[in-house]
Amino acid sequence: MKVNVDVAYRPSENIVARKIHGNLIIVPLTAGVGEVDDDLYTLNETGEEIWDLLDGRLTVKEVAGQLAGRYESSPEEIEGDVNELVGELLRRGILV
Amino acid sequence: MKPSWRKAVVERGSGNGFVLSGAGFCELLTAALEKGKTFRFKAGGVSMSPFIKDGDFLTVAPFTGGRRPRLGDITAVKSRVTGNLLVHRIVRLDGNTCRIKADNMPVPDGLFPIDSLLGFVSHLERDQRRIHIHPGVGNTLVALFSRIGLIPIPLSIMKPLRFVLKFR
Repeated sequence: MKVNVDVAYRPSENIVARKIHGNLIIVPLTAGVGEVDDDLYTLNETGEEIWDLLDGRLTVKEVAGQLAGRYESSPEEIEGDVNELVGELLRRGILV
Repeated sequence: MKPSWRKAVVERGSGNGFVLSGAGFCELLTAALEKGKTFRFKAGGVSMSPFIKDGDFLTVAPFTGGRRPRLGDITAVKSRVTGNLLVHRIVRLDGNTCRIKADNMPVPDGLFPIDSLLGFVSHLERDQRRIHIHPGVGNTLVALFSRIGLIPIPLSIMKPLRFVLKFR
């Protein structure tokens, strides 16, 4: 899904997300129903770090910029990765 | 020295090995119901057998729109002891409290404030059939039987009752 790097995306109202036993669990409430059996999502550590910044206040570009300051890798690599994850979460309706 | 970046990954399902259960599961369900949404999940255990069987899919709905807890409802509530989710039956309603009990257990879970009930099982799915759980005579009878210790019901009585209770 096309990501606009100047947009501040935020978690959809139609999901619930909680950190449980150290894992971020995201359950989409599709048509009012959260299906835990297999319709849940988890993010790895890096994904969680991105998720924590996607609160509707920072644009995608700003999120990538903040993370670039924390890691040794190139800003381009981090930005590309952030864009990819945001696109995936948008496609699944987890971010809006 | 700054750490190296690792590619961000989103995984569907519990593929990274953790098991979603206990208090964490209860927390997710509570969050969904607080948003006025329903929550569907697979039941585990035999404490509510034969009305809920291991592997049935349950849909829990919030008490909203004037729907109040009723005698015989199968309700979702957080255990005060373990923090885990209980999906058991209301066998007594008394003002602002209610007594919860698993149909297949001799001892009740105890008294719970009505306000602490998270929601009720609106229907279940078994063998690709959808079974609605309507409040009514059937559920009230089960609650009364359970309260006085006549549940689990012997199979000889259970078979004729299944038409009233809409369970098979």
